[in-house]
Amino acid sequence: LSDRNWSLVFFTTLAQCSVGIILWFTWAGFFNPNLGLMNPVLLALIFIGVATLSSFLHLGNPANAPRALNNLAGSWLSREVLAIGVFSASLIFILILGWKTGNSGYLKYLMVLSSFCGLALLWMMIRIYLIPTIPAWNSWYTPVSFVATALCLGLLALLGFQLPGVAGIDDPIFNKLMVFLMLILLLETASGLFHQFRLQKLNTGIDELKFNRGSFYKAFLFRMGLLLVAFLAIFTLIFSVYLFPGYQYNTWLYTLLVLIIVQELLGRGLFYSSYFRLGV
Amino acid sequence: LKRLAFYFDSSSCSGCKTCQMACKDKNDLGPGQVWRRIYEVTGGGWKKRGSTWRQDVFAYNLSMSCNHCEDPICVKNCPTHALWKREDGIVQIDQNLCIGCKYCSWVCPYGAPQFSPEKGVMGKCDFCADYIDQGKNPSCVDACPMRALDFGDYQDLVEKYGPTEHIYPLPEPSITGPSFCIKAHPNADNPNPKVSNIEEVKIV
Repeated sequence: LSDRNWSLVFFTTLAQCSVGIILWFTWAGFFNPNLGLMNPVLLALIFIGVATLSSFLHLGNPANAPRALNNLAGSWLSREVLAIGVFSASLIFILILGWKTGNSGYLKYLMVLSSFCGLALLWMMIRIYLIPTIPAWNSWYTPVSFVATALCLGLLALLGFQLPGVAGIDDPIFNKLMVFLMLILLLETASGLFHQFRLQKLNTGIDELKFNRGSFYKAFLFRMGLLLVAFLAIFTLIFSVYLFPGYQYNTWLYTLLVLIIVQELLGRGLFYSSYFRLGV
Repeated sequence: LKRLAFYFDSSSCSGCKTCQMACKDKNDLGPGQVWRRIYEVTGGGWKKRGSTWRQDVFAYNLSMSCNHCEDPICVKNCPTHALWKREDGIVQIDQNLCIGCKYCSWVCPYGAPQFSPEKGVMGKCDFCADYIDQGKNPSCVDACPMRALDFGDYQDLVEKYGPTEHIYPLPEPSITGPSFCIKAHPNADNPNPKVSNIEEVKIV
């Protein structure tokens, strides 16, 4: 993985996290006055902002960046840049309106619009990597992994930044979220295994790029290990909250969050490392 | 001319890399940038057949630049329109528009667009468009001592040299429609050979 690709790892994961935050808050029933509206929107805006800044690091000539909108008719990259702009603008609009008018009811509808902008952004990010000359990326795994990252990191942001202070760990909403998180991790594990199996079957024509050995394979196994540990930890946490009420689980919870973030970054790093193209 | 194309005779190429150097010289390319490249595809070894050992060693060269594809995947995906196609089929790059995102080099199966670290933008073979406009030949074509390179309208080249052949390690022509005619070396009959110097043939 080249240094510049790391900026793409951070760009894609942070942008997808931002979309995930908005999706969870808008559609999963967590939009309620107790949780507040402005914090998650601000958090999503910060994440998409940092993601955009990170994306500049992989450009050879960032001064020309505004020209990335030139080919909206043909390039998914152009469309992605536009979608980032529209999604960010929608978040800024909600924040300004919320600041001026308070958490009024119609902001909920603006959130719905913003979540559709987020979905459009997610779709365009996926399309960029569905390239017929790059077999490792041109598969079902790209959309599955991008959507799973958005849902997983969006939920983590909710768990890590939003809920503490407004809902205790023994609150039913926490358990509900933990079960969702387990399901997403299960999806990531299953899709990761199937994708690895597919990669090993691909004829790369490059011995050095065999996916079933070397550092790529070790990193893959390490990621699967992290997923398994995270899965078991959440499972234990859900039951421990009932078995040992009053116990302070915050350290455990935040360790779990770090573990999942690391496996997400590792997964995206593996995604970029699997690049090879047809031809010379 | 509607579709300018290169012709390459793999059976007569000696791999001297004069075309590569002529291109670098003409375009003043720095270290690591080679808009026309020679790939030497080699492999094979000893195999036991019955009571004897025989060798199946093979080697052939491939001279590759931008193929100015009919359906250029780089042009389609370039977000800034820095890559564009002239009426005569030459795919050109306007470095003033390029943002250096390298997406074109990811997607091109011929490794044509290459990043220039000094300029921070992409560069590629432009068929020596300035020479073409003056009625001259591309520098690589004129430089080849074996006369293994030629250029012209794609259909004319097909009529002159016969139908183009698809040899390893080139991708399926249907992906981008390369404007490239090739006469295969007799050794290039295996579509999926075990190549011993793969690091020279593919980007690893």
